[in-house]
Amino acid sequence: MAQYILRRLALLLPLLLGVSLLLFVLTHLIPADPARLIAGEHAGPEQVAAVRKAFGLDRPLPQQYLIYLAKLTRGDLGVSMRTSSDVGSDLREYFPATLELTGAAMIATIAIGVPLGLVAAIGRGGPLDLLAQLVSLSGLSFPIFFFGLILQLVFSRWLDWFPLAGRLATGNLAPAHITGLYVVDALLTGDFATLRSALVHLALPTLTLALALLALEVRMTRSTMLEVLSQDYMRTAWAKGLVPFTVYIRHGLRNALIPIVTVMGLHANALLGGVFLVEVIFAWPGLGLYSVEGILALDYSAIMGTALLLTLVFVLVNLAVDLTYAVLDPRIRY
Amino acid sequence: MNWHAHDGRLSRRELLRGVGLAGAALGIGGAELERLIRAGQVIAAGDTLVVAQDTSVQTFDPQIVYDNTVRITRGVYETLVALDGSTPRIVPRLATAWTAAPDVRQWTLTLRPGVRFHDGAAFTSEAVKVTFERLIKINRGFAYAFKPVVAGIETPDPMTVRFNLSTPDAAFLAKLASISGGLVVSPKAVTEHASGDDLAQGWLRDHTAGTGPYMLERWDKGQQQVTLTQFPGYWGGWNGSHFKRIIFQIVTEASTQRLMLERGDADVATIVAPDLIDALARQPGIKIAEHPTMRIFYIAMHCQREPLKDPKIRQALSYAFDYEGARQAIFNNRLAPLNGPLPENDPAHLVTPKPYKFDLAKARQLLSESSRPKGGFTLSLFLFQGDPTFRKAAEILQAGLRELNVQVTIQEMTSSVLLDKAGKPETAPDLLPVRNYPDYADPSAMIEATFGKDSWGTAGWNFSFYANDRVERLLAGANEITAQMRRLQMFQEAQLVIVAEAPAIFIGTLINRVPMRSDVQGFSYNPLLGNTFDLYGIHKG
Repeated sequence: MAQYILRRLALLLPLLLGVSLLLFVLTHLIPADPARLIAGEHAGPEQVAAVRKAFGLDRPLPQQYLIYLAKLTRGDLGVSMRTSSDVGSDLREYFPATLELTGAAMIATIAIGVPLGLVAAIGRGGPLDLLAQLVSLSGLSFPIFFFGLILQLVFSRWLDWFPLAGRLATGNLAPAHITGLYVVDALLTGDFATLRSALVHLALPTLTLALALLALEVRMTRSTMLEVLSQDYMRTAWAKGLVPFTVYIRHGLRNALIPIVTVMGLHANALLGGVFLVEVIFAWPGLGLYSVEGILALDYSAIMGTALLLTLVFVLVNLAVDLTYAVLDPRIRY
Repeated sequence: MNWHAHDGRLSRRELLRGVGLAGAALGIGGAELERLIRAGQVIAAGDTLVVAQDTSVQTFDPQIVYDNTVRITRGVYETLVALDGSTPRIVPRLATAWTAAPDVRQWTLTLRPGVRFHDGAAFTSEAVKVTFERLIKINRGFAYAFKPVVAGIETPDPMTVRFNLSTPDAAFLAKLASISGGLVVSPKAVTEHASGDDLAQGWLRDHTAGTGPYMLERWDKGQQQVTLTQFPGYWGGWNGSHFKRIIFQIVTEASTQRLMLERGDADVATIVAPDLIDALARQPGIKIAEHPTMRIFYIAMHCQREPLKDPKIRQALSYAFDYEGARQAIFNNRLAPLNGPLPENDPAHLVTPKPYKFDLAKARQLLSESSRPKGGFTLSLFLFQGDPTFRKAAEILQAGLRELNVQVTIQEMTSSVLLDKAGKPETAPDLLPVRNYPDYADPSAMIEATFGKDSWGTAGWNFSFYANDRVERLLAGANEITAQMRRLQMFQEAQLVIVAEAPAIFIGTLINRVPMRSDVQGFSYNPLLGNTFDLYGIHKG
């Protein structure tokens, strides 16, 4: 197992190198001059040239890439042209917010999706199955920003149950920085007022993200469970006189979990994509907002830094999924 | 019978019972739940102003900021001279008096005594020297207005500063009153926090050291929140009504800003979408402050490339645009007229009636007298991505030109790509809908940047690639004298030349509309100060 993990992690290096090269070429191929945007709307050509020189954009492209790589090996992701600050420290600032939101959405998707899929499969054709199908269908049919706006309108504007945007109430201090995840930090420091504020602010963006993915989770669980329910070992379990809970959960769900976990892994990746839109709608100061602004300003270092970080996350999530297989099914060995 | 159904029935009963129980529990706990949830939301206190800010902070550096973050920095830093209320009239601020040498190559300013920076340093002529030398050396944003003209800065005594200019510049005082660039920074902070030769750019990115009424209390990146608090030692004093704290909550999504204002989570919104503002105007407890801007909206026409090189064709196009339709369709009727390069609120504005109206017959006649009497050509038009006002204007022009047998191909692109292409005459489009505003309170600012020969493409904002010797002579002449009446005449002459040659389709002047809660009082806007508003004078009634 340890050897397998090491092998997978070793593959990470060439992957990151490839991604960095591809991105570098792609971003620099765009026929635009970020220095012009940085220098300001009415800046003269001489001013623009000064900015280009300051960020090394006047050097030949291969040289620029080599300089970037050399810095990267030292863990230096470069300086953002837009904010003039270190990309590494920007990512440390914004990634925890994204992680908190996607993590919460992942938990919500599983917590709602798996049970809903389960009851839909058990009661196939019944009212709960219909409800599950309806949830799935609407989740698949509506774009994510639509959900966001509707939830804001209903739960924030009309019912006034949840705050509209942000991570904490305006004017509230962030909890002491430990992980950067406000919920976790507030919990660790025993700051329950902040914890409450963080949780209610997390609710709507989490639900928005989760709703879009719930559909797949419900459908996957339902169809896998239906297949499992018709297996011989299930009939044996019933024949042994086991209680329904044991039959469905220990004999049924456990065997259905491998495809479900695979889909969860894919979800984590999709979540990181969908989170960008949700962050903009809910003014959630995470990577989404940072990278969207970076892309619009063609802030090379910021785009590269974000993409490399996300590549790393994707690889680690997929590795975690593969390792989970071994836990779920003892026959799987690495 | 398949036995799933059998099991399903059993489970369903159990499940329904479970759901019922959960519902009951939720019902009992509903009020408690709501109380808990509400406790997490804190509504801002009456002595705090919450502004939903549309732009994320890149830096607070007063010599670099060139975007809407100036809304914040102008509360923290101050300029030497200011603009009176909503007029272009120049009034004292950190300087109390000023004189120009007869050849307009030297400006001497007397400084206000007893002013202190937030870091305790005294405000003297040294601070002015450090600020402007820093601006020129960093060479970003507003430096373009000073770098070519400032030859040296003298400090004869702590309360006097003298700018020596390399060329006569009658607009220099107006440049000192501009929105950014000349915001005076503490020389102590610049020295103490410099790292290498960065002139403290690193420190001033996240910190401030100005003389303004408000100090930066906190810049919380994690929450995207900027908190300003009163500077007790402010030279203007704190008599009257002022906010104790001003919080800028960065929210880039317009619809979220709208809901924040409706809920009272924010006191002032900074969105510009006309439809959203109209919707807000209908809500109780919300008012809209409306002021004409100096931001002109026009479609630049490429004067150096066939077929638009022919002035007759440009004039024909100017008659083929449905101005009234555009005013209604794009701006919901909120657009002031525009008959040339300068808006109505500019002192040098032309008082003649609008020269070009929507008149297809006249357009056809002009086209028949041109080098392409039958039309039959195609013009390229670029659009800044994501701006519906530009798209609608382009479509209205496209429809009008179809009547003249002229086709328009529209291409939308991000601003970085667009500016790169439109910046050079070879790759620029034939037509470009664009906005421009004067950077300082002098008519030369707008005319030079929009139609000056040295401002082609992104060197200024002349996307028409227009050049006219008579206009150049008039602009240069106006810079050499300080007699305002004569200067205004020269600017008007220049405008007459420009309007006759039609390098652009002048659509209108934008109206600044700021939605806010009804209890917000003392909101003051100056069209020369971009999208900012006076933070010192605003308060809650």
